[in-house]
Amino acid sequence: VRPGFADLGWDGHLALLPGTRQWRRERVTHWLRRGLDSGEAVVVCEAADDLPARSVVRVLERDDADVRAAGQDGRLRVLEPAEFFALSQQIGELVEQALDEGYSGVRTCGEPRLALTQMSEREYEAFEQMLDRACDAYPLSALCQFDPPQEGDPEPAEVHFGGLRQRWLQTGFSGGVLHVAGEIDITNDEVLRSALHWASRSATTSQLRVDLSRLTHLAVTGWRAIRDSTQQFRERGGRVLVLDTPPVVTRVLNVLMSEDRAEGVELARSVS
Amino acid sequence: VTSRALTTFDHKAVLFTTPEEFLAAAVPFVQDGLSRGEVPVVACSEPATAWLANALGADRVGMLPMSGIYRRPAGTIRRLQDLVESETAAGARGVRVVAGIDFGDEPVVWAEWMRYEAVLNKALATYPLRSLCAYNTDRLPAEIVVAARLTHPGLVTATSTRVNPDYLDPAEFLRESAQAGSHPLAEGRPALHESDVTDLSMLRWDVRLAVVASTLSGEVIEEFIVAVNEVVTNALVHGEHPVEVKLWTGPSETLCEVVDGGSGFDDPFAGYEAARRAAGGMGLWLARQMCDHLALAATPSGFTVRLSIGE
Repeated sequence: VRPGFADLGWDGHLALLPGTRQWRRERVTHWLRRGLDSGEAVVVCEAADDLPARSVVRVLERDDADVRAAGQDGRLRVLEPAEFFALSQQIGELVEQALDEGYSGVRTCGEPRLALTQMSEREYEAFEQMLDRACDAYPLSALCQFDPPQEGDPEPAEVHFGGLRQRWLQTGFSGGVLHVAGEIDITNDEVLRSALHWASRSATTSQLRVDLSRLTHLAVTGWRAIRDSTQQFRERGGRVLVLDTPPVVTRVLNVLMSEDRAEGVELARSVS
Repeated sequence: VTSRALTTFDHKAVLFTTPEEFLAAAVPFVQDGLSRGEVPVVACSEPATAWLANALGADRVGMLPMSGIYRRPAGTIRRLQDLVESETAAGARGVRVVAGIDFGDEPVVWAEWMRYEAVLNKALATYPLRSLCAYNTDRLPAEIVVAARLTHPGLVTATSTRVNPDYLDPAEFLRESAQAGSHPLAEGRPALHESDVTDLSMLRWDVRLAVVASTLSGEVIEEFIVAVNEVVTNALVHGEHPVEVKLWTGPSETLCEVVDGGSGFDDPFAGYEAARRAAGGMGLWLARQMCDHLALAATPSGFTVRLSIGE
């Protein structure tokens, strides 16, 4: 994480969106070490017949003495998809057992691509919803690594409620507020669109609050994402409160909104 | 007095050397507006504003603070459009502005405001606005006075109002202005040179590192990064690869040059008004408001955008 890049944290139910191979490796490594350092039991799904470039944890287990030691003493388990997803269906029992064994919690990592070799799309969506609830209920973190989308794939935010994480941008939804951290430009505005679509469709009140306090860069395309992805919500009478924007983001939004007026979008300060 | 409602932009310059000459043109201009139901507004330097307030009565004219109105040309245009829209919505028959641009000390900034005067003729063409632009020919550099003669369709003196024979078509003025000379900073070694930009996030980071040691404030640096990002985004999306970025830092100015391999486009007004449906229209418009100077030109190296920021 480079200096100045805001981070919403690495715990809970997270989606890791497509990035470069090196970026993915760095994030998975960071995520894995965080679990081992916190005394969690780490369970990772990787297919043995995948290329080494995909098998981040298996490669780490081979090359990194600390990770290898964790594998040898059982703190880290790398499972094949069939075993991993069978075990994940009893995630509550898995966490209880780990706590009984003295671990502080459980950390799992898998890929929707591998899940879909074991279950139908509908079952997969239910599985993600179950994970979402389980991450709230137990000391459990789950990292889902998404591949670049193919036509017809569900949007990550549709199946992933906890948070989206893309290179330099991440979103999270908690307490009725969509939190957005990092930088938005043409390379990642789809992440924001996806999160806003989901958040505005799921909003239970007529107010959608979007916390941009940790956004450090907003390009024109990011404003368009806010405008377009909330359009239907606003047409139904909803208001979008864009909260706590830093000075440069405030200035960008004020300039753009002075010309491109989007009824129902307002800049505001959150009440602390 | 019966009069027709103003329907279009009326853009005149008064070239003067003494307060008396200025007032001889400006006072009747304001009084005529008041008698026609047009809202008078003054956006001039302090002395000129004081002269007018003394001559007319301070409560008869609205004052726009110089620091707010003359920050960046694209923003000034937006402010004037907003002003006319709100005043006419409130029942005014039009707006009259006595304008005195704060040209500052930097030639590169002079050039930007000279272009602004040309752009106004198109950007405000359909607005019920009369602008009397004040030029003190004793105090302003000669090239600014020359540009005033080329960018105002009308000239006002103490004794006459006449059509300006030197007025140049704004597009022609802008094209000639964009071609003017090289920049002294660009003769030196760049603080940042990326010959084939593919990663916008890293570019923003590199620009920040390159200018962080300058005397620019953090807020100005972040705004400049927004401007560079939009220009490079346009080059990546609408231009042709490779996209090259160079950045030079000087004692009082930071200059960035973005070149793509394409032929670009020929719209000398690009970015002065928001063009929501035009490719890159909003990005360039935002960029113009986030830096002091932005010029586009087709050069032998490719389509080139230069943008700069000062203290």
